[in-house]
Amino acid sequence: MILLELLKSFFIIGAFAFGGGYSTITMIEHEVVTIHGWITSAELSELIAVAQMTPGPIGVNAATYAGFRVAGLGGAAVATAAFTLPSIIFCSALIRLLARAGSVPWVETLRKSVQPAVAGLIIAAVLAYGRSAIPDAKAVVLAVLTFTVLTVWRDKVHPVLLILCGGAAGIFI
Amino acid sequence: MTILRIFAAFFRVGALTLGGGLAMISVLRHEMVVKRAWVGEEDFTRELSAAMSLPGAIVINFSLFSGYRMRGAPGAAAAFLGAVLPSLLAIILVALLLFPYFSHPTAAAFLRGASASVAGLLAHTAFTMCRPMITRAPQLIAAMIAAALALVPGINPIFALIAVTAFVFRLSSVHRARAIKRDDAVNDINAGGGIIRDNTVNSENINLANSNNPANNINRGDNGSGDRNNNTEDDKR
Repeated sequence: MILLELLKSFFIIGAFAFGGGYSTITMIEHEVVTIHGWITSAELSELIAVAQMTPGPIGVNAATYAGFRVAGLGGAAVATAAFTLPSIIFCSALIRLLARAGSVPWVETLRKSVQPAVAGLIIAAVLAYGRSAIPDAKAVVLAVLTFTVLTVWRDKVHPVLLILCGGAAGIFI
Repeated sequence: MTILRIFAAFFRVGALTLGGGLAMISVLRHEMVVKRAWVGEEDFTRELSAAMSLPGAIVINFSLFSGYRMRGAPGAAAAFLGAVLPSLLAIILVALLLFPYFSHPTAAAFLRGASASVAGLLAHTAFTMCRPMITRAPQLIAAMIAAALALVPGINPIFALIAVTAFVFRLSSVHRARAIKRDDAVNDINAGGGIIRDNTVNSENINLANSNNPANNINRGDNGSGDRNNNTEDDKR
């Protein structure tokens, strides 16, 4: 049953999505591309590019899109629900504790211990994405330009504007 | 504020903010703290850092915490739906209306250029996100091991996450145990007399070293929270 498979895959990804959506990119690639072959690696790259231009968190976007490709609207709904279900479970379990105390010692310990691994997964995601998104010298120039502009004029230029410029450069240069 | 207004606030911010969940956080802060004064700065920061320490999309976790504080469980449900629906609808619309044209040469050229820019954007985001997470050499080594493991085809990145986290946890608890032992030893010497002035200097040095060690700060409420606030400040930039 494909909906059950979707449910299982995205529930697991959601349950280990520490540090937000960026660290999940490699997990999504492993589940959706490597293990199940639901979408291709090129489609995943397209999706990540699209997710940066559309509203919403990247993990939710990826779940919705993969679910839609596999099983239409029902698949989109199931995958999105499965990805957000762990959030609902963890948050409702801890909501009173956190509201009262501000922080829970073991959650803090977990947070500190998980950080280096999360950083590693984010770095891996950038490298994996770069491998497919930067095939030639022109792409290298665009990527480096975007990085430089964002680093130098931090918060002054909207990232989506830069992505649109990159797209225009792709058409006209 | 009513349930409907909570839903509307999250839905509007979700629908109008492009560029991922982190971009939504700064708009939400403006909307909820500055413009409407629904939330105090302190509550906002506390809920944000709670949202970041649990797994899941940060905005989704944040919507649950924030909605719950404003209106209980129905408020949490309203905020959650408001945060999820724009993303769901946007991707379904793109998948239905735009993806059929993605193979058109002009669209493909646009996507190639956009993807290259996104690679630069991701590198920038990764840099700003990871910098506050990695402050010492062992953390850098752990991060590199996690990245290398996650990039090996066939290894589940979740395995890399669990293995490296367990390793870091083990390392920091060994560190903590050693530090406690060292403190005890110094105290014993002090209690037993001896050259008191030298020992005082020693114990100060050791305590100084300990307070610089983040592993020791985990269970210390005040230091820990200061550290956490710094992290959230950095994360948001």
